[in-house]
Amino acid sequence: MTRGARWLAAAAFAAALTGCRRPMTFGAWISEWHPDVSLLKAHPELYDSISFSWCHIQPDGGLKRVAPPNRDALVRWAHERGIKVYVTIGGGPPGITGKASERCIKELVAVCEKYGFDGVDVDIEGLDKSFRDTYTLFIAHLVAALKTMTPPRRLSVTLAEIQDPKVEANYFADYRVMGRLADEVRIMCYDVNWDKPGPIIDRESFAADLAFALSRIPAAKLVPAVPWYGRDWNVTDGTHEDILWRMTSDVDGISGMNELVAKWGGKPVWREPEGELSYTYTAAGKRHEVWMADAKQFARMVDEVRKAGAVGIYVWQLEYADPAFIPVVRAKVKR
Amino acid sequence: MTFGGWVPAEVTDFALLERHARLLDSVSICEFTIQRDGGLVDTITPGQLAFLRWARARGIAVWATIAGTRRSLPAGIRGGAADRCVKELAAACDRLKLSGIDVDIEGIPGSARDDYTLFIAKLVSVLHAMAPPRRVAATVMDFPSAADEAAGPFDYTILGRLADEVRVMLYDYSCDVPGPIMPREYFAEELAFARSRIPQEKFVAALPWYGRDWNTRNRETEDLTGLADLGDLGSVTPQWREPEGELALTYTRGGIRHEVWLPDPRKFAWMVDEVRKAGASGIYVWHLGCASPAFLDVVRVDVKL
Repeated sequence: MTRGARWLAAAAFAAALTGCRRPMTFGAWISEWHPDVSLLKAHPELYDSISFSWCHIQPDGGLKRVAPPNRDALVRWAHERGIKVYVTIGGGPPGITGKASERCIKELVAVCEKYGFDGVDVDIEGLDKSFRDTYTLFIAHLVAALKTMTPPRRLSVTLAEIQDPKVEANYFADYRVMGRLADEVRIMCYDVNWDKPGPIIDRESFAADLAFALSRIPAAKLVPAVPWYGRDWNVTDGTHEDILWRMTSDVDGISGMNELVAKWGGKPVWREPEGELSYTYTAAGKRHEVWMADAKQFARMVDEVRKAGAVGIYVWQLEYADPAFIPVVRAKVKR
Repeated sequence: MTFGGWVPAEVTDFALLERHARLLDSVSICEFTIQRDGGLVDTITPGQLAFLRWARARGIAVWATIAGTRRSLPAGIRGGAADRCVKELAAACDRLKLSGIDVDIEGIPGSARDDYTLFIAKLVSVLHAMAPPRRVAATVMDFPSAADEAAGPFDYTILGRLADEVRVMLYDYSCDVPGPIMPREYFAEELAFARSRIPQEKFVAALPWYGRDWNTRNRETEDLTGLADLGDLGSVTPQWREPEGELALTYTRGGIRHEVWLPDPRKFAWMVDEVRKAGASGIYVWHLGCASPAFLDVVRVDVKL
């Protein structure tokens, strides 16, 4: 039995002892560039929280709003239904350093006050270990500021998936420290393949991600984030782009999975041992390989998250997702 | 509530504590000093080592309390020195089979707040990765308000999340001028502020078992482990003072007037009562060398219930 498998077995045993099934929290990110929130509006009872990019951190620590105007109404709509709303922030140094950091935190507190956000989700990506102290202090100061608000606001940190302690040692965020400082730690369990075609997240990687996260982050704060998207690699050109199930070239300039299959024929194939849907097609003489998260994979991942004892699950991303995901949320996440 | 206390170097007689082992959840040995380069100097005595082994054998958690000097801090907890210090502390935990490290860094300026926060974060990360995981306590000054706290090196909210326990030193109210070690009113304010920032399960109220003798001529002070330290006082007896809620006395020796304030079991009892009402998880005392059967009775009756 691998170390990771032992962790998961122990977590599953602990979950069994504590009464087996309990509803997990469920939430979704909404990007700022797609207008579709139909799966939220049709099933509000399934969501504990939503998060969306409201603003980006500027080099001087100031916040630049990126959310379209209709997002203000979405915040009100969500609150009327008891759904918590997080403001997700991206960006990075120098905006989270020194005086800029102070300004950034002050403005985040003001944004939470003004728009009624329930918390801040820090989704800073792509830094190396040299930024660890900067990032740690930013998170520490932010949590101190949010917790002294009335009412106190929540802090989420969104981190890359990691399977190896050596990788974490060279990462800008210390999982253990984030597990102490934040109210919840969202681990992005996807994007395992990037430069070359492959699953968004295969079974083995997902198990390793969960095991590593649980070895450092309390289960009561751990929220694995799983994919509701896919990626289309143009193998001939060596390029790729993210796709969603219901997006269309007419509206978005990119075909989603449904449109690709309708246009190019053939059928997506379930792949093992990856445990993910795959589809190949040729367009304009160029071969494409698509890997796509679907409801079957999502159901299996939810089972794994539940066995691990994590408090909740998050999905990237809500827009144009396959409606088949919804029954899985109802049956497996919220049950 | 849990109960524990610090064991400074001057404590050499452990007989009383050994008779009341059941009352102790933890002890903290104060013999580790951080150097400017982050190295640790450990001056633990054979007697303390024997006590440490004795405590462990009875299931009492043993912590090492680390401190520094004005010369060595905050340099010793900054950058590469902090990394070295954390590494040496982990090694000390292994070598001495310690349950955790208690960081009692005092006298650093408010400008060292980030250094201190990062040091605690690094220490937590490393000690929690040990097998078995070791605990981290942050021993911090007392503050009555957010404004006071903001000017100091300790952020209660952050420490309340990072550390496994936060020991707030609720004493030393009077230093330069004679007065109570901790008056009632100030104690209530500080308890309330600490509880507003530190989660209940991590909040440990540190209370005084020591007293202080002020030489009113030259303002020099001497800490006392008890009334007996003062020798023969003739007919002078301590008087209970209100609203301070503490014993005090004055005496003259060699033509010099002294003023003494001295927490006693009665004071300890009301403080424990307040701490319980405030919802702390435990009580710590400075220091166990001041232990007396009467203090330990309060522990038995009011702390351990």
